[in-house]
This record gives sequence, structure tokens and C-alpha cells, in this order.
Amino acid sequence: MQVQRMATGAAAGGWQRRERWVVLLLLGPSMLYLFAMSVYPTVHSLWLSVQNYTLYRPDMASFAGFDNFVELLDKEVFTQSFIVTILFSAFAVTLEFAIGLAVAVLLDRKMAGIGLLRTLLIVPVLISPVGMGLTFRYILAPTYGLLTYLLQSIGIPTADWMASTTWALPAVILVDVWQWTPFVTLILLSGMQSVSVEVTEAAELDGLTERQKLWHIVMPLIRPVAIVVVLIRLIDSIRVFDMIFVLTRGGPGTSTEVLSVYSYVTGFTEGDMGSAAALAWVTVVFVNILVFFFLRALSRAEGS
Amino acid sequence: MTTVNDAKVALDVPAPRLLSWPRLWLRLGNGAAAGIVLLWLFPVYWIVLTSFKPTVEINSAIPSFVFTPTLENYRDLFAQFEFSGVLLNSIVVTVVTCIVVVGLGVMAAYALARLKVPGEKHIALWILSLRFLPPIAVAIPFYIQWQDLNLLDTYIGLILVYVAFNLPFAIWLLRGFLADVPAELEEAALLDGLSRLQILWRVVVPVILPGLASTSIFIFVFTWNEYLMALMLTSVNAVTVPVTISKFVMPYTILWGDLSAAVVIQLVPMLAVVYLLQRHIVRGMTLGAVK
Repeated sequence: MQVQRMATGAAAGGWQRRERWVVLLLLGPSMLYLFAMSVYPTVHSLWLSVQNYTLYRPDMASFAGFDNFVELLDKEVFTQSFIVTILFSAFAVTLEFAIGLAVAVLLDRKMAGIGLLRTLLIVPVLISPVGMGLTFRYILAPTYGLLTYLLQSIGIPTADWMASTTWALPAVILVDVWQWTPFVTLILLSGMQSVSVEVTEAAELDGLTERQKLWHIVMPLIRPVAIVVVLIRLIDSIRVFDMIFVLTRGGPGTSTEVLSVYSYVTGFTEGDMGSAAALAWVTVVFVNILVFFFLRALSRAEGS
Repeated sequence: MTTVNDAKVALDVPAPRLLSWPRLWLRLGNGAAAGIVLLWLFPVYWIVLTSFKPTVEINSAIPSFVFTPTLENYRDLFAQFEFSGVLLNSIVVTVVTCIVVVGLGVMAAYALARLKVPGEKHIALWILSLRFLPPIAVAIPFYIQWQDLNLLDTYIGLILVYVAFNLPFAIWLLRGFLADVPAELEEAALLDGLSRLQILWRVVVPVILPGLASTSIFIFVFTWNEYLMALMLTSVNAVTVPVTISKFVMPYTILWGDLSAAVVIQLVPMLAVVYLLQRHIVRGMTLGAVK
């Protein structure tokens, strides 16, 4: 960086030494804090995962080796939870991307009030997942829910969605889609708008139709951004907790019990902290694989 | 813009004809654009409407759009459930978190963006990757540790965790804002004999105030809405708004009136956020991938 070179050139070693102290002073507190508050708990959780540790009798803790992990693999609930998490993420993110892209294309137009529409679209993203989840719990409620009423009045049979093993998962996916599609739309939209006017004008001069322009010019240009968005959504949907917890608590049975919820129930309802930590670690590994791809995609998007 | 397309359209359409295919198409598109956004906002509208309904209307099998609005639910929320205390908890925790995070964040971000830090790129990526650590992974150790340290159900216990959760995001975002500041500004100040810290405080911070503002607003949103940690680490004294909202779901009944009123109160500051954040929201949400 220019500033540094100039500084070191001007005042030689003294500056450099002083600058090292400045770095320590500025960066040190955050690094120490983050280390203490994330690396330490993660290691603690790894330690817990090889213990028989009960929430109510911590004094009885004993070493368990890999028992917690082995037990997990034996349990049907774990496989179930893993599958539920993958189904939830796959469906939610696919729908969010498909609908989000379609809406972005629709909103990428010049019209009176378009700015207001885009601003309004931020609202669902900013509501707490707890608020959004419970709002939908009201709308989907069996006796007084609005959707139930609407469906019944046009003759479509309804169910107690949240209490049905068939419908609970699609219902929580719907809520996730409702909350996060605008997020995808807004990001893709700003990606589309950063495609320069010259490029689109050149395409128009070449006689490309709107549709050709979209597929051959705009899409390739927003690809890096699209990848970043999809990965952010994938990571966040694998970690999902709040919305599902307030809607179904993982039920009925285990039909919506994603990994985070399963881990919470194991640790805090059943009191088996060791197994809960083991479970949490499975989630961590899972998420970190995606984070690795995300970081690569991000540096590519920034570079372009 | 005089492109070939425009010229063709202009020739095809004689002045008096009001509806042509391209025009109709355009109108339909405009209508669809407005329609889809309004549809998407409908659940929010519905919960706001519900919060002003009397209990009878809330639980009626035929949903009503027209009714005599009442403040009963809000009154009940504050009178019976002491919501003001909960609101105060949320405000204190959120505001303190914002201040601490932005303070620490801008220092660290400045070092990473401007000073010679060994392994700078790796440090930055490590910090960013922490943003994605599943909360459930650290929640259990925090619970056990806070129990030992008597930090459960205290402001400080919750703030310590929230600072850790938000700092990575803040550092990353601020680093991007700092990278946009032209280096010449600081060069001049260096030549004037200001120290690095003076430069940061007197030259850089005033320039990136909008960046600081939008970073703190993002942190405000995350902290204000956070549920999992608050659920585990608080019970009575430090309980926050999202946890209280979820408590209206009781074993045999759901108090929709109080619940919807609380959801609306939680939403109000977010609407101010929408207004303030417009320009930076996408940048923040994509961690700087889109500027």
C-alpha cells in the first residue's frame, strides 16, 4: 500500500516498530476476544462431545470416547434429522433462488414507484424469524387461519398443517421461502443494475431481444453474485433454528427436526449435553464445507 | 436513447392508438411487479391488522378485514405481561452490543485495511468464517460456562455473546468501507505528523461515518431479532422481545392478541431501519460482494 511504503521510506525503522504496536493495539483486542469467544467454546464443545455429560448432574461427567458419535450413527432419529435438514435446505434454497430470480427480472424495469416497491421488499427480511414464523402459524392455523379459510371457500381440502407429518415440512419450507426470497431478489436485482448501460446498449444495437439480452448478457454477468447468494442461503438454512422452533419444535414426531433443533432438544430437553455437542459438531463440519466454497466464490465475485 | 428498437416501435404505433401489444405488455409487467410485492407483504399486513382486533375477531373462523380497531391487545401486553421491562432489556442489550462491536470493529478493520499485518488475508478470512459458525455449536459450552460464572440471565452474559457473534461481520464490512477511502487523505495527514491513531480518529472515522452507521444498523437488526442464545441464556431478568413473543405460545392456547401486538412493536424499529439502510443493504447482506 502506498501509505506504508512512503512512511517506511521516510522515517525508516522507527516508524515500522511503532506501527507494529499500533497493529497490536488495534487488532489485538478483537482477535483475542474472537479467539476466546469462538475458538474456546468450539474446543470445549469438542471436549464435551467425548463426555457423558448430563445437564442436571455435571459432577457425574465421565469420559465416553467416541460413544456419543457412535450412538448418533445408530439412532434412526439422527439419520432422519440429517435428511430433514438436507430436504429443507435443498427445497427452500431452490425455490428461493428460482422465485427470487423471476421477481428480480420482473422488478428490473423503469416505472413510477419502482424504488418504493424495492424498498418495501426489504421488510420481510428484517422481521425476526420468530415473528415471521408465528405470523404464519396464525395464517395456517386450522380453525381461524386465513389460508385455511381461503382454501376451504374455494373447495380445496385443508389440514392441520403443523400437526401433519406430511405437511409440516412443506409448511416450514414455505415460511422460509417467504422470508428469504426477497433477500435473493434484492441482491440479484442490484447485480443486474450494476451491468453497465454501455453493455446493454451495445446488445440492443446488435438487435438482441429482451429475452436474449437476459440470457446471454445479464445472466452470465450476475453469475458470481448469484453463487454468493445461494451459498449464503445454503449455509444459513442448514443452521436454521428460530423459525422452525417456534412453528413446530421439530414435530410432529421428528418430521421437521433439523440438526439445530435436534441438538437443542437433546441437550436442553433431554439433558444429554455430550450427545448434543457431538451433534452440533456434525453441523459445524457440514457448514464449514460450504463456508469453504463460499469464501472462494466471494473472492471471485469481489474480483470481477 | 434512439435505438433501432425504439424507432421501429415508434413507426408501428400511430399516435391515436392507446393500447398496442408492447404497451399492454408493459402495463401487465408493471401490474405484476406491484402485485407480487404487495402479495409478499401481505402476512406482515395481516399480523398488523390482527394486533388491532378484539379477541373475538382474532379467533373467529371467518377472518375479518373490517372491524372496530382496538388498542386492547397493546394495553394488555404492557399491563399484564410487563412488556416495558422486556423492551428495555432488548434495547439495552442491542444498543450496548452495537457500540462495543462498532468500536472494536473499526479498530480491527483499520489495521487490516491499512496497516502491515502479517498474514492479513488469512486473518480476514478466518474472521469472516466465524460469521457462519452455527450458534448451536457454541451455545452449549456458553450455557455451561455462564452457569459457572453466574452470568446466566444477565445483560452482560448476553452482550458478551452478541459481541462475539457480530464482530466478525462488522470487521469484514468495515474493512470493505475502509478500502474505499482514498489513501491520499491519510498520506497528507501522515506528512502533517499525525500519528496513526490520530489519523484513524480524526481523518478516517469522519469519512466513513455512513459505513459505520449502516454497519451498526445491521448489528442492531441481528441482535434485536436474535432468538436461540436469548432463549438459552435468559429466563426472567434479561429476557428479550423475541423470547417473550415465543412464550405467548402456551401449552393449550396461543395468545394471538398479545403475540401480534408484540410482533408489531418489534417490527417498528425495523421500519426505520428500512428507510436508513436503503443504500447499503445489499452490500451488507452480501458481505461486500455487491457494492
